[in-house]
Amino acid sequence: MKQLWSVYRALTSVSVQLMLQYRLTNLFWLLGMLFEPCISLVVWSTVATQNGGEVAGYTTASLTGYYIAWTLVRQWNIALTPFGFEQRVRHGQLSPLLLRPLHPFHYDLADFIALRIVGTLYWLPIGIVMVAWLQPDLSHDPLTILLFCVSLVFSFLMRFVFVYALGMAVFWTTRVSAIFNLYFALETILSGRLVPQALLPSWAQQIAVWLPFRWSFGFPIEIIIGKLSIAEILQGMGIQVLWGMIATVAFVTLWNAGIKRYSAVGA
Amino acid sequence: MTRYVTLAWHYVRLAVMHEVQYRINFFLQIIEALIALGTALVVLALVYAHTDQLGGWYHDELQALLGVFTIMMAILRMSIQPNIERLIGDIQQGSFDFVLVKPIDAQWQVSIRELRIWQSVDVIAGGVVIVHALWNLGERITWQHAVLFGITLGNGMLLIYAVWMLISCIAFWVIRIDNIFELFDNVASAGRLPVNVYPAWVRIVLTYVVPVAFAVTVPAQAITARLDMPSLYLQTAVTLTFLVALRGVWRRALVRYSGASA
Repeated sequence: MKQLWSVYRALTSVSVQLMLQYRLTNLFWLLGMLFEPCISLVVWSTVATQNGGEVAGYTTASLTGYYIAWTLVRQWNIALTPFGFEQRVRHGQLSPLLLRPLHPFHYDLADFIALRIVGTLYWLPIGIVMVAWLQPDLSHDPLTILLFCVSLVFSFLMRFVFVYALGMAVFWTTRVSAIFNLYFALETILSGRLVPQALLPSWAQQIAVWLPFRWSFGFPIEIIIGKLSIAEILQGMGIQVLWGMIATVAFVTLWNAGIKRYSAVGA
Repeated sequence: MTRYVTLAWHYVRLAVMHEVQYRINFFLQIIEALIALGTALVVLALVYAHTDQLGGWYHDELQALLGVFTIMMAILRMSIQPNIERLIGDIQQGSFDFVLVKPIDAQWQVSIRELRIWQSVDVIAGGVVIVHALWNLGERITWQHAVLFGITLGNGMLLIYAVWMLISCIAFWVIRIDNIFELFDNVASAGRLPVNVYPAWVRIVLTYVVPVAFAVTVPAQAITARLDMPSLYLQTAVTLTFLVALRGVWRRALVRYSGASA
């Protein structure tokens, strides 16, 4: 365990240094990501204003808070998608990874942890400016902020393992893009990335509770904008852990079954 | 003049011959188009479940605008982007030399070399959305509206071409610019809403820096019969300005180019 820890530290620090080489690239990437929430914010603030200042319990200020938190949560939601896996298998990049002393999962996770660190560093000044300038409705309670940070890490780990497990599909077929496009479209709608849960029709909200999507995206945002009580937060974190465990079991099972079938492309 | 047209025709033929080899891509493109449009229509439905108009646009009108947006983005991905990617690759690797030695205008050449025909699925999908929206609006489309729509749509395409080409000219000075494009793609996504919904400073950016206002909102106004003549003149003027500016920058860029190995 201690050995694994030091491996992660070494791998992560190498990745961080690699990423910090491309400072302008990172900045453009981050700026580009801001547009999606901006458009949503414009739409829903307009609707809220037209409805006399509120839509489904969201005021303009809380919507602003929602979409500012969105920009941070979105970053922590980035994972190695099945598309990335498909490319790896097709280009024969998976085979060399299998020869390394550790499971490829560890290298990928370390890499994505590094991405979170760099991304958050870049986000901080932009986030502070947005909060100071737009005056959003965000929770000031230190305990809530702490719980938000923890749930952010949980949502990252949970979604990372989940999406990684989906990537195992490439062991059976390398034509996965259509299915996963549909999957990610569903996720976009039901996770809270497109709109806050409360704006969905109630039947869609009820479905969303039973799916993992909401717990890795909308849930941490709702914590920081103060929509949830402490009991609800702890319960939600329990659900995050539960989904994380389900994802881990699925991943291990699928990997073990799939790796036996794998015979590198081109071999 | 005929030389230019013939050359374009040959490139189109080549592109078609190349792309029909990958027929499965056609079906994948259909699925992708359905998913993207489906998501966008869900957003509209959600918005209009909570209000009946957004910045003066009703549900069907905004659907028509979404159709125009879809067509514009499809044109961008069908022709403009692949051509630009090839141009930038040529500049980086020095194979732009081969464009220069051919006895035909270089700008024309780099603008017609690539065509992703399966993207036309998105053009059709956008068209279907527009027709559906107009059907629900229950308005009779006069031939004047159709002509105005044609003109404004054509202007919009030229405008997007000019802006994207202008950015790619930066590649003659700075080699790595892929991220600028990513940024512009994101800005362009703002075109899925009518520009008057945005705060004033965003509106200025969307009108004169990344002119999605002229490229998407104006054609959508034309087809939903809310276009005033000054907007049409202004759109034409802005398009011409960008095209002339592009020509000027392009010439300077050519002077600047010295080959990758030189």
